[in-house]
Amino acid sequence: MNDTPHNLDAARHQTAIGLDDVHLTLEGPAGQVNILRGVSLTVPQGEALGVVGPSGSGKTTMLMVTAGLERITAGTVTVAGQDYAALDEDGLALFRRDNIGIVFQSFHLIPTMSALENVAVPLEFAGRTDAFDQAEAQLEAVGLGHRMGHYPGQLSGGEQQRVALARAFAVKPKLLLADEPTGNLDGATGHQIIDLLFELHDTSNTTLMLITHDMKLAGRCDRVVRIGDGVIAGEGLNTAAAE
Amino acid sequence: MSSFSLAARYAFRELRSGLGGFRIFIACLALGVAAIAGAGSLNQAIQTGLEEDAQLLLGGDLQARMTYREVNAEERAALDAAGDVSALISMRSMARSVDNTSGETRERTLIELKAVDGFYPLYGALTLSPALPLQDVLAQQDGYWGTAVDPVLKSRLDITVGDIIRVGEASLEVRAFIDKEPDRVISFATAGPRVMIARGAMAETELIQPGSLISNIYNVRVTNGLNPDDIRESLKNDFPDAGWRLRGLRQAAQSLEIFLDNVTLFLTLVGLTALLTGGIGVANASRAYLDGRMTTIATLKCLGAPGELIFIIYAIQLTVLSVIGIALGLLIGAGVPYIAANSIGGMLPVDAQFGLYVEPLIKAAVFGVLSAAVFALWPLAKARDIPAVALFRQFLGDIRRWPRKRYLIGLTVLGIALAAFTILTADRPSFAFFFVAGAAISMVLFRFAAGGVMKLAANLSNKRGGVTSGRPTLRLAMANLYRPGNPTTSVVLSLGLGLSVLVCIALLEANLNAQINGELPDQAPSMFFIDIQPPQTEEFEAIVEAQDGVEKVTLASMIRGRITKIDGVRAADAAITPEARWAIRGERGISQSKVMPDNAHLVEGDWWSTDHEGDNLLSLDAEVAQGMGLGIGDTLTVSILGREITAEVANLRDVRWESGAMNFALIFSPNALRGAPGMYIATVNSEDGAEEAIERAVVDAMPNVTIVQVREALEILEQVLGALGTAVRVTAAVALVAGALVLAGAIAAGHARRIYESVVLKVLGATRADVLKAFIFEYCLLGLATGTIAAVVGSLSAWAVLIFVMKIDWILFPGIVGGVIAACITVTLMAGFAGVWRALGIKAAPLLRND
Repeated sequence: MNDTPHNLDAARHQTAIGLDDVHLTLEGPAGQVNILRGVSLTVPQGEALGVVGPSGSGKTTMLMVTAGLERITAGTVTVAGQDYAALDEDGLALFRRDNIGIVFQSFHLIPTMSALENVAVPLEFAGRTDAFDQAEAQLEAVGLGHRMGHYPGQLSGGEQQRVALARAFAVKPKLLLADEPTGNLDGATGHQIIDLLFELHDTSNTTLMLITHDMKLAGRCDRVVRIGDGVIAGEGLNTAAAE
Repeated sequence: MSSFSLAARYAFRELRSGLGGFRIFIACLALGVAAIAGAGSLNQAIQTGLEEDAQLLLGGDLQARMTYREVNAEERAALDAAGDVSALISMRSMARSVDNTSGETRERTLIELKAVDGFYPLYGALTLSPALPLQDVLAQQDGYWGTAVDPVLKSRLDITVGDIIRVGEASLEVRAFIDKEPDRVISFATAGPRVMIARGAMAETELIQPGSLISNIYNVRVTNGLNPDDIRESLKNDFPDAGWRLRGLRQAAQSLEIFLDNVTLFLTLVGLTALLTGGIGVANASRAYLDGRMTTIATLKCLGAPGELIFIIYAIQLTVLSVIGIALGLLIGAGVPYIAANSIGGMLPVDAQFGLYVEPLIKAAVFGVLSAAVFALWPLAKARDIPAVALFRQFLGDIRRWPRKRYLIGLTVLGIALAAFTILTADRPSFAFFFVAGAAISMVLFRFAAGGVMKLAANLSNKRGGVTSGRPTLRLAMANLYRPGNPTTSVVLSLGLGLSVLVCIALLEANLNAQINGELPDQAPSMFFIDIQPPQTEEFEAIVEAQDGVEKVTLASMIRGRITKIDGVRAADAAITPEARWAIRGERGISQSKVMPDNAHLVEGDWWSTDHEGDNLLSLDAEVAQGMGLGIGDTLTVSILGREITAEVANLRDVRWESGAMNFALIFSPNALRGAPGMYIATVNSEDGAEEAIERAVVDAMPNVTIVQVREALEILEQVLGALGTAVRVTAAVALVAGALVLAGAIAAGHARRIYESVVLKVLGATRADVLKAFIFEYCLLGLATGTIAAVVGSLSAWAVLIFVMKIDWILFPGIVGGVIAACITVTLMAGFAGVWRALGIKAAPLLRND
């Protein structure tokens, strides 16, 4: 533990994620589709937020919006004090580089790079001269010190997700977004990944937004919100469980 | 049968989605087939035209041609027995225009003089303007013989109808210009414009002297009902020592046919190169398509489809696509003669018979089928082995490196069939064999080079602290050069093959131009003089040396003769290598000399003494001697004016023909040719600009002497080379287009990967510029590697051709080589950039969502 409970409380007064009446409408083949219909959400710094909801409810879209990977139609998105409306595509990329780590269900590693190189990529983009040393340390931290030179194709699903975690945490992000990180993994491996995820979250005071279908998993978060039909339908584990 | 119909049902069900992904497959095949079909059809059109015009081109059904002498009474009787005979005389000479008032010479030029009799032309018609009967035009009127001349002379001699020109000692009145001469085949050896006179006027020119270079031509219109070929054979047998060259209709335009055959062979080989390059595109397109079908194949296998069924399903699909590609190629190829009729019809020496020729189309189709089979079999065989587990595991690695044994055997058989078909259907199988061998070696060479590039990229990017450290975009670029499914091998192979042909041709052309433009042989003379009579030699030297700017005058006696026996064996029966065969073909210039010529380099034996008498001795070109298997002490027999002279080889010389200086393959000791009616030829080395005055002085004093200005001859040669160079470049471009198609295909195949990588990089904080940089690096490196390999292979090929085949010095032109590398980088960059631009615009979110 780097931070005392007092410090954590102080940090939580700062807002890590602020979504205010966020709307997202996309043009589909069958006409307009309203994916987010006025989502408002505030996540304090250091909090672990679980997001649950049925398929197609807008969970992943909310994560994409928070990551700056999807432009909203109306409303405001503020992450770590930065209003996304002020940033263009490249500005958002640079902001992600310095502030956000993302873990996907499908890992999304670069298949032509070794585990070590994959982890080093965001550090190198950030201009870190010790990129490889840091990447090595991160891989050691997720228990893959012996697999650094392996390519994604040579790793199991669990190992690939650990590389993805190491990559997400490499730049010490303020915000970690995880979209069904155990969706492609078996139960035991999934548990290991989640333990690792929370361990990293706890040790670095990173704000965590975890999207999941798994209520037990969501229960490990500080707070749980439920999304339904493009709006925040409720808060708390019980509400979610009722769903 | 039932499994085939099942496979067919599945195959067509998949093809319903359209041919969108197969554009490159079809284009690659169509291009190669079109090139081969087009070249073959064009050749057939011209060949047919040649056959139909053979009588016109030859000037009769049969022709006898002899140098120096006319036929004797016996020979003439034999010709007359065959039919109507038209006797002509042909030679090179100088024509001069004269000032009407002062009578002084105004302009002078080299011409081809033709003296015709009353029967000329036996076939076809001469078109004159004004349209007057030929015999009236040429007849003697008011003391002047008439002449009909090439319209080119209007400007060259500044003359018009009614003016007087002088040829030799004769004054001739220009009465008409020749619009069309039925038996004139323009060839690269055509030296000058035509001046036609009556045979009766020949005596007045005084050009017929013992030893003058004169061709006596006898055209025969066969009227005795016999086959001209049979008459030719019997004339050959009845007069074995006549020394005439007998030609029938089949030999009418032999030189033209050889030239056309060479052009066709070349075009076919370029077509094959295109097909080979395109074949790589076919292989890539097949592989990319089958990779994309991995899930379908794995699903089918899960549901119980055996590997064989999978193979047949996709073989049927690729067969349908091949048929479309080949049909398209044949359609374009068949249209080439029609396009050519409108664009180059007027430039051809014969009226080509443009039409649909089935034979070249069948040949092209077979080439198309075989190459499609060769190149598609490997990916098909590998697709057969995609396991059902591919559905459940994202990364399978390379499941099976090699296809099953039976497919490998099939591939070998098809490869051999393609090579055999190429060799057996070529007009010159030996040449085709070397092409096939060369292509195979090049493919292996390029394959290794591509392997080297991949290894280098892997080494450089894997090294900690190496060039890619801290540069993830560069590392990604390098990784993309060697990752599984990389485009490196196919691009290096296909684009590299086309580019190295281009580098080789460009360097050959530049070297030949350098040679012609005198960058190399400073010793080349500026003027040649022919038909100097022996009593004129001293006067000639005096006249020339009196002119300003003359550096060197070289005189040598020359007589034309034919090699008849090689060490006692008849030349026709002797074993002679192809390189030396030219020496026994027809008559060659033969010289004699007391002393060793200045530019001679003896490699074996000694020169004879200046007062040598006794045995006839011979100095021989060392290469000719080698080709004929002759050494010092062996004998060679030549026939000069029907007289056979045998001499013993006394020494061998290394003759550098390319120096442009006067050279002879055969130089006899003077005693050997005593009494033979030789003439002298001379070369003059002079300062630039001195030629005009020298020509004027010599022609005015010796009208019988013919002058060839080297610069003019070289200008013609340069034009010919330029035209050939353009043709070669255009055809090399076909191979390059095929390479570019493969490049486009490879880039299109990598599109999904590029989109994925750019999205992941953006998620990790890369800006669009970073992503762009990564791909630009990748294509830059690919272009640089391909261009460099092509430059090395192309330069080595050009060097080998120049040093070993043409035997001339070699210069590397860095501009050309660098230009090709730069062009290669530009092309790959442009193609890559087009793909990247599309990838950059793709939104990240949809790709990152969970399936």
